[in-house]
Amino acid sequence: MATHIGIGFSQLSDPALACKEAAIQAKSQLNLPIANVVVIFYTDGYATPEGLTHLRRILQPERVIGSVTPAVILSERIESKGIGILAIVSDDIKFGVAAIEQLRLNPLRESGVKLARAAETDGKMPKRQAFFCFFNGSQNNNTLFFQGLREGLGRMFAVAGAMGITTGSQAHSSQLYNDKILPDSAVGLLIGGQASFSLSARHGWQPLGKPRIIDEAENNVIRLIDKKPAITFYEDYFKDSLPRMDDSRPNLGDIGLLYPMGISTNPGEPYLLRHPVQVLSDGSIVCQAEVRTGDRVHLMIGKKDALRQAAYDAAADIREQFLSRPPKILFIFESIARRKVLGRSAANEIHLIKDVLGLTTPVFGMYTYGEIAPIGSLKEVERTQVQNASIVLAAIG
Amino acid sequence: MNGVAYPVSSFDLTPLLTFVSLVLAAVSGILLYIYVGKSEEYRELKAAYDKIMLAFHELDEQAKLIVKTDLELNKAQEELDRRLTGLNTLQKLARKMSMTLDENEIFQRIDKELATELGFARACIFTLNEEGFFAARVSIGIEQAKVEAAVKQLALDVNFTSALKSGQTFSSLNASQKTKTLVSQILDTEHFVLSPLLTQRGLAGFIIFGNRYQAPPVTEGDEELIGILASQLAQGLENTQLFEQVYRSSQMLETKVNERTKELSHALKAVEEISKKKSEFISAVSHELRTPLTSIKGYASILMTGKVGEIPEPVRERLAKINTHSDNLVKLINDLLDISRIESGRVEMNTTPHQMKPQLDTIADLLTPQLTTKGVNLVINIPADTPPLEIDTSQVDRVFINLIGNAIKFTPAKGTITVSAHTNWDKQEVLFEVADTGIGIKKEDLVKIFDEFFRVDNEINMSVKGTGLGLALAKNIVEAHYGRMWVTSDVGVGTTFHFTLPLQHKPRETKKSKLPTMEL
Repeated sequence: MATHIGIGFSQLSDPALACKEAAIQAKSQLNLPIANVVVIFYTDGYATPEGLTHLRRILQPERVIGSVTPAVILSERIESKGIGILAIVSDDIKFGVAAIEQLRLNPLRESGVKLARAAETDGKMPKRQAFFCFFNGSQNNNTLFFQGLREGLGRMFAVAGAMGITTGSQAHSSQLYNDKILPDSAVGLLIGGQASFSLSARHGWQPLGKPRIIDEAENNVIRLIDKKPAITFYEDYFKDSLPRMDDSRPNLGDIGLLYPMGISTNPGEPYLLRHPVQVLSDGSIVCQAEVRTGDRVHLMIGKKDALRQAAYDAAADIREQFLSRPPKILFIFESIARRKVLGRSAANEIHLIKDVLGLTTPVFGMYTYGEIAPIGSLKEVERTQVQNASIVLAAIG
Repeated sequence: MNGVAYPVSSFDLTPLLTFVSLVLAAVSGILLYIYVGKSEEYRELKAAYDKIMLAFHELDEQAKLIVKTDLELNKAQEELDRRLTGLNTLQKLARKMSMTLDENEIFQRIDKELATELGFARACIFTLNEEGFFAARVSIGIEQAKVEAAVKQLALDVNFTSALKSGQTFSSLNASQKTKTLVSQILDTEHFVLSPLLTQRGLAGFIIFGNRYQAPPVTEGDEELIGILASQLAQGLENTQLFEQVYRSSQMLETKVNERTKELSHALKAVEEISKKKSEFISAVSHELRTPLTSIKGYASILMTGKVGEIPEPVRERLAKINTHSDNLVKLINDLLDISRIESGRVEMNTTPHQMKPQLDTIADLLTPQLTTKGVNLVINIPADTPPLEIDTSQVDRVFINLIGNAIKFTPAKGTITVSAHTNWDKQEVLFEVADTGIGIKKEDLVKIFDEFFRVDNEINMSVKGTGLGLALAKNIVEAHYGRMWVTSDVGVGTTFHFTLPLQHKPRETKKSKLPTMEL
């Protein structure tokens, strides 16, 4: 037996029945009694215990892992409402899953280490290839969490991750781990065995305006830029266009998504993007990962063509790594910011990627509010970072 | 040194000092030169730096313009996407609505999912009921009690009702402050779009879609979308109402048709029953009459032969009259029997092919005495290419004899009777016409001319006795041959009887007995 893939999707208004319908669709393609692993991406409200019961009865999965998302990415389209189920059966690919609950209440670095090691314990595979991680990352210094993963897995180990949040607020985050629906958690899927694996990430955003210097930053909080409160960075560009919250603090919201901050780490290297997720009363900007004092920062602007080119480049990278063989399954973790820019043409991106990798390539993915991936490709695995506004392609063959 | 002391005052330091001064001057010069050079370089560097910073600043200012434009473009794109999504949603809704003609099902299509796809969390649809009050048909995101209270208050607001009647869509963008406050208070919806449902009969209701204050304000695009939705709904409602009317009318019509059909069916049965009974009566009476008539005629004949004894002449005359009247009675009875049997389908036409010209010549010979006595001319005009007809010769003879006989009766002396034939190959029939230049028949009598026992009220009929059965019998015989008979006439000009006979006779399905005649 090689590797069998089954993908199902449903939008029925009853979440339990939707899960059942999607499981049946996946099962009909799989045509095998037991799934080695099931990956689920679902929009708000579509994960229910009754649904998981149907799933278990129909697919009899050995392992289940999943995350909430603002939209599910499928082979032919993007759906803003519903539940998508991917079932895999394989002799070649091995899997291990794990979960860490109450992420906010525990030290993030420690949680990362525990998650990595728990997945390894569950998987017990001789040859590890990659680690997928879905987590509630809003307003956390997720760099610490990622560092913990690295410590548990190894510095040169391929990690791809996605923040599973629906509205940018922690209140709408959940992940699935076997029969449990976990709020404020991180779940991990270790992949190994004889299969090929490839990873690539790009963003396509371009710097705009003059560079500024981060004069003071502490972990994931930027305090001063060009010796002024960090929020002046946005106020300079957007002045009156910045919406205000009730307490008159600027609400960066959509503007932060469309115009992230681009951190220049080293000249010649791609920019590391950061969404501002909160503005503090003193004008400091909170990001989702670490920012260093002394780094240069640009306002970044995303144009449709550049974003599409980035997706194309990421797909081309995968193709090169796969020596032009089509992958068995392609995962896409894509920033919700890209969907905002691409608008109705967002679905064309899937076709663009499939044009490069093969029109019959099964695609399964989710939109995210933050990603973990190397900036570039697997060759730059040591540069894996928590980042924003990017598209991450992970292929298994 | 050897310990020799030299007094200081004896040495000259001037050369040394001069040398040192020269060296210092040279060093100072060099340092000055270096300083001036570096200052120049520094100035150049600073100028370049300032230039770069100015360029950065200008670049940044341009970047701000770019960002501002880009932001506006993004907003426009987002609005466009929203409109396109909304139009797509409305198109799907239109397709669903077109699949039903049930009013309730139409309203069921307006659900939370639709409202969300259009970008709204709350929605209400009200329609005017038969009493002229608004009633809620759909309520999304608003408590039912609030909805019911809302509609009462809204109906009382003059501004609101006049805005509705204007037929225009309006929203929180352009509604009067009073209306905005009212809607906000009663429906808890600060941003709203309201559109009337207009049918051919006028205002049928209204729809309102809205969001609370935290949501973005509505746009002109939202007004357009809700306006389109209202049109679709109104159209859908109108279609269902029309369908309902048509359906009810067709149900009523069907019921009436069924009732009338039943009535007609009963009436037909009754008529058939009556007709049957009439025929049976006639048949029975005729048979009953024939027996005594046979005796009367027989005895009269015997007496006239003188076998019983010599008959005086006056008695002989009277016996002759008894014979004549008996013959007339026999003819009447036979005609009645013929009509009765033909009507009841108990007579089969024994058809064989016949050329009409020779047959009519024979009939003309038969009627020559009457024609000569009356002084009327008979013209037989049968074209040579008239095809032979499959007819029952004896029966068809009776038709011609009857028609020509009537024509002779009603045509004055020196008049003309014309018998003609025209072949219609398309219809596979021959049209015969017996036309006279007689007294004509009044219009009001034409419709009854073929009725049994009917005789036109004129001097000739008053003076000449008849049964009034001849034309009825002739028509029956023609129809038994699957032909048609009709009459045209002008008073004082003449009358023409028309009848058709098919080229080929189609036999009836049931076997019938030969028509008996009474031979006396």
